[in-house]
This record gives sequence, structure tokens and C-alpha cells, in this order.
Amino acid sequence: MGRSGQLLLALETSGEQVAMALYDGSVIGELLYDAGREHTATVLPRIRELLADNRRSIRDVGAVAVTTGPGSFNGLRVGMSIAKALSYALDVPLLGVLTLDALAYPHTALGRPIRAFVVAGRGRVVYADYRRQGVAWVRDSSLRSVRIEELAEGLMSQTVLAGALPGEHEQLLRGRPAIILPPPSLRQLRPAWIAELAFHRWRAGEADPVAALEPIYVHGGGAEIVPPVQLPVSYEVRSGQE
Amino acid sequence: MIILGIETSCDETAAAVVRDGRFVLSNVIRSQVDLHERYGGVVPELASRRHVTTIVPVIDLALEQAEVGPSQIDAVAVTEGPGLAGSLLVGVNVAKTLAFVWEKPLIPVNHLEGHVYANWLTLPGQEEVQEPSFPLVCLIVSGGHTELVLMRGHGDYILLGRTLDDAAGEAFDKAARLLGLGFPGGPAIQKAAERGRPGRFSLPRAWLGDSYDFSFSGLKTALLRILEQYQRRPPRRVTTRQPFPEYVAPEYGPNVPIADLAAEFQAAVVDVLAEKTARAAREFGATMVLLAGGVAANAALRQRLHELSPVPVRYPAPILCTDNAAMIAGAAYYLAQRGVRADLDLDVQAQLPLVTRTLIQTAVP
Repeated sequence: MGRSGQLLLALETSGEQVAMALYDGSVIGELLYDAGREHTATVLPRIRELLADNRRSIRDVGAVAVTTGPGSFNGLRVGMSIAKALSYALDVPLLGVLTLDALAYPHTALGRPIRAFVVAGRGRVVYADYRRQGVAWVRDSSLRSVRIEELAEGLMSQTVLAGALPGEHEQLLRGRPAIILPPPSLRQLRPAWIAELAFHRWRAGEADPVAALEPIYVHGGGAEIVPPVQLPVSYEVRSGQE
Repeated sequence: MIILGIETSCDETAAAVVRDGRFVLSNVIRSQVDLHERYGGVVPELASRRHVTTIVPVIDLALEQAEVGPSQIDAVAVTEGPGLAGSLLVGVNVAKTLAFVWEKPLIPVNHLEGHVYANWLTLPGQEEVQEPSFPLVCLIVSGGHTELVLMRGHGDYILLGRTLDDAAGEAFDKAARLLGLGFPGGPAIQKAAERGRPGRFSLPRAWLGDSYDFSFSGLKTALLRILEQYQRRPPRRVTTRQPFPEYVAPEYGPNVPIADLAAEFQAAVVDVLAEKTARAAREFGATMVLLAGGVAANAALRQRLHELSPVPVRYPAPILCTDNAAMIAGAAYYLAQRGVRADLDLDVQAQLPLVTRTLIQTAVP
């Protein structure tokens, strides 16, 4: 039945930038490219190429990770459909990773609170807050949808902002005393971050249900507080060293 | 040749296993009617969401019921279009992935062609269905489509006519909303019509001259005009805490003749569909008439066609009229014979037409 392969394939299709990585405790290979809206036509061919380029076969994959959002609904469904079918056909574990968790993850070493966000369209962003609790990092149980201008409001202590705003809005984040703003390339979702987060869960024996796993659909238009989305509340974002 | 078919073009999540384009080994359909009922129609966003959570169990069950494993499958077939883009992409991406991992050929199927090929299928335990003979005239009628085609051989379609506005099934859905009969409209109107009398009211038939095209939007408007006389409150949409507005049925006075109006509406749709199909069969020397698509399950349409058609009329079993994946796996067999294959870059085609040729060329001025 389940393979004993050590290789994890991570897939993120929630935006125009598609990300994928092969990971086995360290990064084997990564791909980040601008798919525009051509996710269905391009993602599987790129997975095939990534495997071939790294002299691996799809049969070497022992776990599949996929981002659950928030992000483009159809984009998320492409990744989710592929990841589920891979998990089913290969009979290997499936792991969902919140895009916001992956965005926050590389900044945990700074030891500061983190606010991770993605742009949700209609001038809104969806964010979650992360704080240190003992040796672990914990995410607030709810995601919040606010107007872009409100993203940095109410931040008291030095908080790392993890995420990228469209051009003109980046100004809003600069020069504010309560904000730590990493360089742009560290605020863009990277394939390996998703893979590494999922790898920790996989090694801990965790997996998500293949049939029931769903993207998180955040409707940006109305509510200030996004109603309880199905998040594993106890889920921890661990910092790199254990 | 054993083919696994996958279909997610609208609001049914379906997978099936079919042998040689003729014999259904399994046919699993997860309907979403329960999900869309309160909205009075299919909400595309909700349909795609449901596909994401049902597709894997549906495929697993189809393989299990057919008692085949991946190693016994010769190809994976999938609906590439037409349909709802967000729904189609679930099936297309899953099918591509399975074909990739299992190292099987991938066969893209037009949803409308699938409906046609439902007429070639024999269900498990049923007497073998005879292969239809060419040339034939096929009326494809469903919630999204109304097309009359002449078929001279496998994959050889000539478009004779199509709807200029609403599809026949769409007309039934809209009329059912006006009549407060629920969703889906076709079965609801057929049921109500059983208690009614066509002809008590007069609704228009859009004959459009000698054309084989159809039009149903005027019919719906005429129905609305009659109903307004009885209306206390029109059907409406209300915004709730859900992100999608819900449908609230209209309220009518006690004497509203719902059954008679349903009967007349159904008769008006059926008259035009059956008359034009029978006329096409005569004009083009068809050896038989095929019905295909969800509305092919309508008993009044079947009966009227039997009355009017000069040649035998055939239609699939009800479970093969509704959207299903057996028809996709069935059509894929004949496509595979002609070498049709897709690679992993296959994309969804929301507007994919069935036919590339039309009978009457527009005159060059």
C-alpha cells in the first residue's frame, strides 16, 4: 500500500504565481512561474518536468502537499484536484497547508509577532496573526478580511508583515514604526516553505482526509470578520530547528 | 477496451467504467440537487466546490463497482466542455493526473457528443441495446443545450438547428420557478402537467419559419403574463448570511391554474421539439431518431416524437439521459478508434461547440 518514499511534492496554485517543490528534508528542486490564468493547461506538465529535471519519477513521491488558500477559488481548485488525484492514485498522504502559514513561516526566526496576508481582490486583504507560544508559533483561529488601507492598523508592537501588496499600496507599509518589512522576495510565497511545513506534519504522522479536504473560500466583499473557517486551531507553525 | 470516464461539467459529479463503448460496467452519479434547490437553479461556484469533495470517492466507487483496478483500465476519458469552467476543471485536472500516474492515454470528450453516445450503451443486467444506424437525426436537449444534428457516421455531425436563446431544459427550469414548482424544472413540470389540461390556456409556439432553430424565451414571457394576473408576490431572490442569494417561490391566489399552465407549457415546448425533429428525419432520410440529454427523459416529448416521427425513435435509459460519465467513456471509445488523444496540457473548453460544420452556408454577398 502506502509507499515508503521520502519525497514530498508541494503544490501551490492559489494565485497567478504557481509554486511547486520536491522536498525530502532539504529542497531537491523548486519551480515558481507566472501561470496567469493558465493553471489547468500548465500545472501538470510542469510537475512532469520538475520530476524529470530532478531525475525523479512520480512513483518516488511519498506525500503530496497543497495550499488550501485563501486565494483564487478556481486556482485553488486546480491544485486541490491535482493533489487529491495524486494522493489517491499513488496511495500516499495528502497534506493541506494554509497559504498564510507558509508566508509567515520563514520569519519565525526573528521572534517577533507576524501578520501574514494575501490580497483578496476588491481592494481587500485577508490576514492572520501569528505569535510565539513557548517554542511553537500559533496562529489566531480566525482569518480577517479588511480593506488594504486597514492592513497595518492596530499593530502595537514591532510586527513582521509577510505578504506582498500591489505596486502603489506598498507605500502604505513603508516607514511605519510598528512594522518590520522584509525584502519583497522574502514576502513572496516560495515553494520550499510550503513543502517544509507539510514535511513536518507528514513526519509527525499527520494527514488530511483526501475526499473532504477543501480550499478555504474567503469572500472578500462584505464581512469584517470572516466567519469561522475550518482551520485546525491547534495547528502549530514550528520554527525551523527542532 | 475498458475506459474510465469522468464528468463534472455542471452539477453532477460522475465517474463510470465502460467496455468497448457499449457495455456499462459501473455508472456512479452524485447529484447536487439538494445543494442547489434552495437557489432555484445551479449556483456555479457551489457546484465546483462540491465537485472538489465528491470526485475522489465517486471515482473510487466506479472502479470498485466495475471490479476493475487501474491496471485493467485502458484509457481515462474526461469531459473537456462545454460546461461551467469551474466545474469542468475539477474533472479535467483529476483525469489528467490519473492518466499521468497510471500511464494511460487521456481522451478528451465533448459533453454533447457524450449525450449522443448514451444511445449506444447497455446497462448491466439489461438486454443488449442495438447499435444505432446511420444516417440518423439526434435531438440533444438538456439544461444547457438544445441542438438538432444530422449524424452520418461516428463523429460526423452536421448542425441543423439550435436554440437562439434559452435551452429547453433551461426553459423548464425558468417556468418551474415562475410556477413555484421547484428545481429541477423538467421533472417538476412533467409531474404537475399530469394533473393538468393543455389547451385551456394558449401559449405560443416559436416555429421560426422553415428553420430548424428553436426559441423558448417568448414562451416563458407569455407564461409570466398569464401568471401575473394571479400573483400576490412574485418569485424573488433574498440575500441571507450565505454568500449566494436564495430563491423564494412566488405566492398566488387560490384559483391559480398551475397544473393547466404546466401542461400547456410542456406541450408548447414538446410540440416544437418533436415537430422539427420529425421534419428533419423526413427531409434528410434518417433511419432513426435519437433523443439525448436530460430533457430526453420527458415522457411527453417521447410520446409526441413517437406520434410524429416517420422512423423509429430511440432514447437512453433515464439514468443515461441525465449527465453521467458512462456516456463520456462510451463516446471516448469511438474517439480512441479515430486516434483522438490529449496530453497533460489539456484545458477546459467552457464554450466548446459540438459541430464545426453547418448544412447551410451563409451566401457571400
